[in-house]
Amino acid sequence: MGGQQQHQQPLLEVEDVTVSIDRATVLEEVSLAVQPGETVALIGRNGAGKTTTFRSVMGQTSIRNGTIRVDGTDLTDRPSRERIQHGIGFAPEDRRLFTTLTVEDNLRMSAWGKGDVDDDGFEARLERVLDIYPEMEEFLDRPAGQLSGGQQKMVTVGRALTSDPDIVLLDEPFEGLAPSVREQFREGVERIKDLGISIVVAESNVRHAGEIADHGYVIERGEIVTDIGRDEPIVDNDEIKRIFEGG
Amino acid sequence: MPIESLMVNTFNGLYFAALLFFASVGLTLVFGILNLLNMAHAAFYGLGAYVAVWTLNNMGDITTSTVVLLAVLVLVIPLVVFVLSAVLDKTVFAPLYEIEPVYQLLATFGVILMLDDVIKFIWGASPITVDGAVDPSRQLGTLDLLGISVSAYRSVVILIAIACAVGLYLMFVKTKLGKISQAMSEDYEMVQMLGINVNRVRIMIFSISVAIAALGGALFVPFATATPAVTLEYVLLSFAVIVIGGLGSLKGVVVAALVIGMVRSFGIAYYPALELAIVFGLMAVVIIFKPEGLFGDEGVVE
Repeated sequence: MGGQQQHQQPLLEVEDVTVSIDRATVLEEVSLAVQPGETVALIGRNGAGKTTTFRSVMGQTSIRNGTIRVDGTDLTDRPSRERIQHGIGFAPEDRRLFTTLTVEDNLRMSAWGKGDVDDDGFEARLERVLDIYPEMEEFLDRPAGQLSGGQQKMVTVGRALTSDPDIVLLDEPFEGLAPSVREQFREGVERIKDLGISIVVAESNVRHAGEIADHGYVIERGEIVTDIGRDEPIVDNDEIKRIFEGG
Repeated sequence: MPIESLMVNTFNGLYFAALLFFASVGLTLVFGILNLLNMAHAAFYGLGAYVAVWTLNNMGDITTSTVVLLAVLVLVIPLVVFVLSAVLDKTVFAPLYEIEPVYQLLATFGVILMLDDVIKFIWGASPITVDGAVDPSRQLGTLDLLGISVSAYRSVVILIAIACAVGLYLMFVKTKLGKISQAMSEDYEMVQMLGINVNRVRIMIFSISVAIAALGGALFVPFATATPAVTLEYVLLSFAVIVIGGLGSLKGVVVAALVIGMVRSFGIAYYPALELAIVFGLMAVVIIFKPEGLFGDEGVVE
């Protein structure tokens, strides 16, 4: 993938989205665009609006203003189901696995959600997830509630992938992971990129964002304050230094 | 206590437990999976009883075959109520899922009053009973069980309740509908965000739950009379079952139905005046010492 994709139609386009919860504005005219095959970071501190942005893309907030388009289709007022069918996968920060179900059934749930495959089709998707995270094979039959935190994170990302998405939203995928597990995870993200799947990653850690993203947005108090271009470094960005280091 | 009366009371306790299970299992499922506290749930038990009396009494001219009569009670009536409740879910109950429990209680209490009036309008306020010729409980007579003589029909009802409990358990752990239901009881919004059509699952779970209540009413009525009071009695008893067992747990319903069934059966035999007082006294004790119920902190099929 080259860097000159600006003229293509974005795969995901969030345009001037404003969201209020209980009369408080939590997102103010947020705009971002993700091109096919691209990895985009949404960088901000906790509470800056990253998760709300993702929830809005998934159709779980009431959007007061603005538009959300996937592959050119306006899905702003459509239910979550249609967003999945248009190829979005979501791995929430707090994992939200179904603890009484096995890992395999957790993965199956998103294939059922998209509703486009039979058992054989699911098996093929499962194989692909196991190529990304081979260690998952060992605990496929265990209830998700019995896994370690790192294993649960892995299943959360796997579940976002078994709907066969074109784009996945990963909310803080590296948070709370031991350094060795984090490295495994970073390799997993690289393998997802190799499949040509676009990624939006919400990160409060600038260094982690810089390691994987082609392009970034900085969000602060519900507003996008900086759009870091494809040719600019993420880690050494002046605006980021101002926000994160008070410099 | 002589051994025979111990066995007879145990058998009767099992029969009460079976009826209580039918009346209340759906209440706990609808709350556990769909977050709706449907006070009107057991009113469908009453409706099932009336529909069963009416249907059986109109079948006398066609057939008096026990197998056919049982099939009507076990299959046809629940199926009719299943379809009816799918329609009710889309119309009457759909808006209630979004509101707070206290309003759910009020609104579904209104549904009880309406169902009660519908029943009185169609069948009148006087008790109605199944005619002898089409009463499968008379046709089946008694059977000898470990030296005591028991109703063959009641034995069948107990077996159907066991089959129903096992069937529900298998549905939850083996089928797609059951697994999605388990997931919904844990995190409804996440299931929605994965693209699952939660409304379709909701209608299925609601209709299955209501159909089981109607099945209970249908099975109850060959031995008893259908009266408007049946509805209220089972509304109260089914709340006792889910409070003791813990809201949302299949295991809780089974255990609480057995406990209340036995307490009732032995209560009637030894302290008939205190029968209901013992049941609700037990409920009060559970509320004081374990407010979430015996299994209230567990999942649907944990």
